[in-house]
Amino acid sequence: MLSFDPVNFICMIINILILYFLAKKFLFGRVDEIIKKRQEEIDTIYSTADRITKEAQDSRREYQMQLAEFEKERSEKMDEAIKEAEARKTAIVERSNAEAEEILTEARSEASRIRSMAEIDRDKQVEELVFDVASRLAGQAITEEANSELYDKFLSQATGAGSGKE
Amino acid sequence: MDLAEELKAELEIPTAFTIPIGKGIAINQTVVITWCIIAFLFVLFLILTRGFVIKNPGRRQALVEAFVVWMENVIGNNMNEKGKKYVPFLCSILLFLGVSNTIGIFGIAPPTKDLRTTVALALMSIVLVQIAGIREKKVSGWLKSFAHPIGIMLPMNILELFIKPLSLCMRLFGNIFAAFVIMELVKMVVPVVLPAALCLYFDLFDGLLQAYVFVFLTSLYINEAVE
Repeated sequence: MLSFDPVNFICMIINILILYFLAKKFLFGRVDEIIKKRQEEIDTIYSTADRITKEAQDSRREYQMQLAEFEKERSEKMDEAIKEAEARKTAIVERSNAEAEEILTEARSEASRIRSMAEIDRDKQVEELVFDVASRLAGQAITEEANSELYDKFLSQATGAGSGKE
Repeated sequence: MDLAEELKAELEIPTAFTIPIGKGIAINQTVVITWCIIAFLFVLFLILTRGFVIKNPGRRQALVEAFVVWMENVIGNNMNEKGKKYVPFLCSILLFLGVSNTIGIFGIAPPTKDLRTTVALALMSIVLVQIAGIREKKVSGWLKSFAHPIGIMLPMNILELFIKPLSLCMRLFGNIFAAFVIMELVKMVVPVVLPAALCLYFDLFDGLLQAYVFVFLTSLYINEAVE
């Protein structure tokens, strides 16, 4: 019962060592290995997810920067176009004003010329009339009635000439 | 046969077979039962860990993983980081003791009833403790630890080197041996009903408790040695 023989004692030690190696290889080793691999896979998944999230955030930031740049560029081009349009409008208006002024000046000078020509024409007619009347007076005896008649005629001619000119 | 003789006969460790070398090497029943336990555990390991997968583990795999992690935590939580590398050995001892101490339920004599088993276990545990101390502190540090905390403690610390394994092996042997004796006495006096009820305490509860106590104390000694 309480005897102690070395052979069986050594056998027990060997048995326990064998059990330890079997348990380590076929139970703890396998379970720990599978848990370790799973942990590695989870870590990989997490790191991949982190990387993708970071990439997405970078892309988003880049996109927003590009968008802001485009917006700025669009705004600049719009301002430039507005300025150019304003300048062109001002130029057109100025040119139109200048042309209108020129036309007006020309029209005024033409009207002035026509008026002066009409005045010359009228003076010439009056001159001719006077000359005609004078030549008639010189050709016949002057009576009171004849004078009156001549005056009337002269006046009616003069009036007729004036109204025709106008 | 009177009660004392009957009990003595039950406590005898019979020789299972003799290896015909020289005068003949007698292999006793305890060693054979231990082989059977090892074979049983080995087959169980193979069956339980067959077809393990990383993704979507089945119920069997989940249970095995949970059990192993729980066992490693139960022992590993008592230990510091340096001592954690000895957890698989302690878990193996726990498994062996758990099966050995409870095998009495099936009417098989527990190997831990034999002093050779408990002495072997205690000796291995204490050798492991000293190896852990030497690996961590080197030989000089390990030798110096005998004079810790002061030089006057040297004889006590050297005595402790023998007291620790002795207490480990005697506690385990005493408990299992006593449980076996009590159960045999009860079976002789009241052969039915009462042994079944007491078996739950002595074979299951006390057996598992002693297995845990043995491993727990060894883990404490290892922890102390590597600190």
